[in-house]
Amino acid sequence: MTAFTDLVAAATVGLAQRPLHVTALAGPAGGHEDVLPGDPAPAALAAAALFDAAQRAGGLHPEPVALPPPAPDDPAPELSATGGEILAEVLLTGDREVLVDLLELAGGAGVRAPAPLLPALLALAAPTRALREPVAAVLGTRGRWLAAQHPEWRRVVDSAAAVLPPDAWETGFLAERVAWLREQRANDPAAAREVLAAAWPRENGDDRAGLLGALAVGLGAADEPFLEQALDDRRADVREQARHLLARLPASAFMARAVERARSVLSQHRNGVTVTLPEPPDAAARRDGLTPAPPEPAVGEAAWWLFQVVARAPLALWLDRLGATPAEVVARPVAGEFTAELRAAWRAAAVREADPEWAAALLAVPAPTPLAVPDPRLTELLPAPERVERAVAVLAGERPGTIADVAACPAPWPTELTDAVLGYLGAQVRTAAPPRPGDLPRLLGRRTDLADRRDVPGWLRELADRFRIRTATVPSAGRWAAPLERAADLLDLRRRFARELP
Amino acid sequence: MAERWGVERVLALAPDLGSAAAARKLARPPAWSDPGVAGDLLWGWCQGSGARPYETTVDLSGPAYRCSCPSRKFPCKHALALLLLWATGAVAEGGEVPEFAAEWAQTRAERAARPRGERDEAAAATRAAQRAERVAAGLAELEIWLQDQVRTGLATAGYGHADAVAARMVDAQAPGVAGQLRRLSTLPASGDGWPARLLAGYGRLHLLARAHERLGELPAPLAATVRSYVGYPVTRESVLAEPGVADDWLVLAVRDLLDGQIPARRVWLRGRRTGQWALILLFDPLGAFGKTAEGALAPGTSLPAALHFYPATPPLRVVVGPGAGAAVASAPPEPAADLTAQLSEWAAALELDPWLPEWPAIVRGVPLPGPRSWRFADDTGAVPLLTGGVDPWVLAAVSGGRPVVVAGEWTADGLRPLTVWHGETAVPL
Repeated sequence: MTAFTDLVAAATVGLAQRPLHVTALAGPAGGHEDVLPGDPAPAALAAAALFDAAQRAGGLHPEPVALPPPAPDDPAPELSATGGEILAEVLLTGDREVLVDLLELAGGAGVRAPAPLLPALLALAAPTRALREPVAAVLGTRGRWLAAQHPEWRRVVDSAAAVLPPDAWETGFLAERVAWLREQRANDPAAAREVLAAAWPRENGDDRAGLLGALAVGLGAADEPFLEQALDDRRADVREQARHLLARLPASAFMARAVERARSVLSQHRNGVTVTLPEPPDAAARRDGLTPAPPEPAVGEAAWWLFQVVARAPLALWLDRLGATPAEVVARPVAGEFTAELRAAWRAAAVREADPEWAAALLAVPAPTPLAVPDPRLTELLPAPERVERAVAVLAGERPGTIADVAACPAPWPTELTDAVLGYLGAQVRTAAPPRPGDLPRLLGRRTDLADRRDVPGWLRELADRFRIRTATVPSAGRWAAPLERAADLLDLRRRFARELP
Repeated sequence: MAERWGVERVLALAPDLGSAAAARKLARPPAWSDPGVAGDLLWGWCQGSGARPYETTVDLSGPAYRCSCPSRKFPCKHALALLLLWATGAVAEGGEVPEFAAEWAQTRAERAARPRGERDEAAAATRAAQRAERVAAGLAELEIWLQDQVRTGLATAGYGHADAVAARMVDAQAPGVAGQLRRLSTLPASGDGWPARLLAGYGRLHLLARAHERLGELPAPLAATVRSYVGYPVTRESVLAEPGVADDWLVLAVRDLLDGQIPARRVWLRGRRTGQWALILLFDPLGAFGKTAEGALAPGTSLPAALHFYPATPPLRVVVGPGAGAAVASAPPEPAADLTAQLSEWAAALELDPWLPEWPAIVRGVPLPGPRSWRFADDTGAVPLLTGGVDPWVLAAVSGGRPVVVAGEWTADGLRPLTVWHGETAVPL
């Protein structure tokens, strides 16, 4: 009886060395020996053909198997087929910003991604932290079930899960410990601080600053002693974090010291402001974060000391001493050469205190020094209608500014702003004046709310065509056409997608 | 007047993705002046970067294209854009055919009308006889070579050992045999059990050579099968001359084989009423299959057509007959009873054709991921899932651990899944 393995063994060595006389074939090929020729080599080949046919026809018997439990039913509805096609298209283009936007729309509407797209979404989100949360929001039970079976996809679900392990504080990673501490702070700030204080001496320097930052949740006067001792920490980042938090406690000794340092620096003299330059920072001032050396060579030492002292003082101090309103304070002429530094210091304080009134006053006056925070940081503090008003004026060429002023306007854009943007683009077509710095088409493409405005994509395409026609005469016009079309496409895409959501 | 095409059909003609994107951008009325369509002729002027607008003409019956632009892409983005414009209904019908379009149409008409030259039937018969002789001589040499291999021992075979005899088979006009030899040539040292795989391959070639010796004695369908494995050409015309099988042919799966000498696409079909399997095989040197109507077929659609089968047993490969309708969305197919029933069908097909490499399958079951290999299971058990070239995770995602309908290729080594049905929607893997 010859089995296929015998045949293979003989043929591997060679029939010349290892003769094989095939008489009877084993298995299902048995009974067909009569077709084999007498000559050994052709007989071996013919037998191989018989074994091959038998093996291929019958070798693949289903083996009994226990099926694992299936995925639980998913209560969330699946995104429509059309919505899925749009999502698949965006996945192909690799535009992550648009993808995140659509995923957030879908997640917000409570729909889950179509099952066939789950692997692509999980594969994309696994190595990219920024995608995990939006992807996790559309996974549904099916997607979580799938992720659990793939070693690299699990983290998409794990890291996006709001539920922390019960031993997060004792054994978690820094991010988990910070998240745990923030949770505790929200419930019982004092108890959470006690937990941190108890662990503090054992914490390694790298973790301290991060953990201390968690005290921002539920920050109160009771935290002051702990923060005050952190000012003497060995690590600069811990000390900086402590100062940052103490500055948010108006009644703290830290702020009282800042007021004390600033009190004598500025005074009102007739209609103007007189500056009395501060001393170089002493040990106590350095403990509170003041530095003797300016951060930039363009800034003088005295100017730097003045800036720090004023920037760290509460703005309310000046309302008592220099004027009734921020506008009045800011408008006063400053004796000597430090006008810019003073305004820059007030800008820093306005940002820290998030004060819209000071921001508006300071935006009206220039502060030409590298120490000044840029206008958009202040613009963000203004009430929405004022931001829109500014942006409209910038677009109309009535005041200096950039596309950042437009970007600072919150959604949804009022009609006057949309009109101003389209008007600005129209003016660009006609005059080819140097455009405002910033990427307006990109901004337009990202304005979710514009997708609701039926006319906007059409207008953008129309403008793109007009820019394209102008390319012959104004070379720079070509830069506009494609980005505007892209913006219009994005708006259309989003509108089509939004229509697919419940 | 030609019936207006769909946008998909137009985009399928694009030589690459870039052309499709560029054409989409251009496919807007402001980019075109006076586009028109009359009969099968579609024309328009497109303002490009040059001073003169490009003159673009499309013959919808071909389709054939002509454009005065310098692009080497064929069709160029202008022709595609013009077609898109027309597909979206933005081209007015009628109108005067401009001179450039009329001239081109006339040249094409003249060329088509030229007689092809009478086929000399006697000469053809002589050529066929010569070929048969050459193949017979080549296969006789192959048989000697095969016997030498088992006499001297497979152990001496190295990678590429059969390349020379494969080249000889090309000269002997047996390209099918040459292709199989080239595959066997890569087997030595290709992993555990390679001598067994090599010997099995030799056995199949031996069987083919022996069958060819007795070609005249074999039943006609089996003889045709042998001839097709050897690589005798079969003209499209001769296949179309056979009676067609009319049915709604459900497109089950599409598989591209891009690593062969010429990129190929398999389109697997099943007749809804006849239950018959069919395979459309397409070749394109650039792998751009979407250019033809067959190549644009998508899984989950159904093609009302008469299919003409190549002579073979079991019949499988087809040519789509003239007058095929447009493919329309279709309900999911009916799967085999279970995996055991599927296995019986595979065995029955092998009984007719022992060389058969794969057979279409529609099965219902659950994909089971594994660290090294996947399996596919139903109540009767599990078989290996061949996951090369497909994304089995999409299958798992659609399944969610519950039975799904899968179409694919059944082979001796397991099931190669190609399409899974997600509800009513066919999802290519």
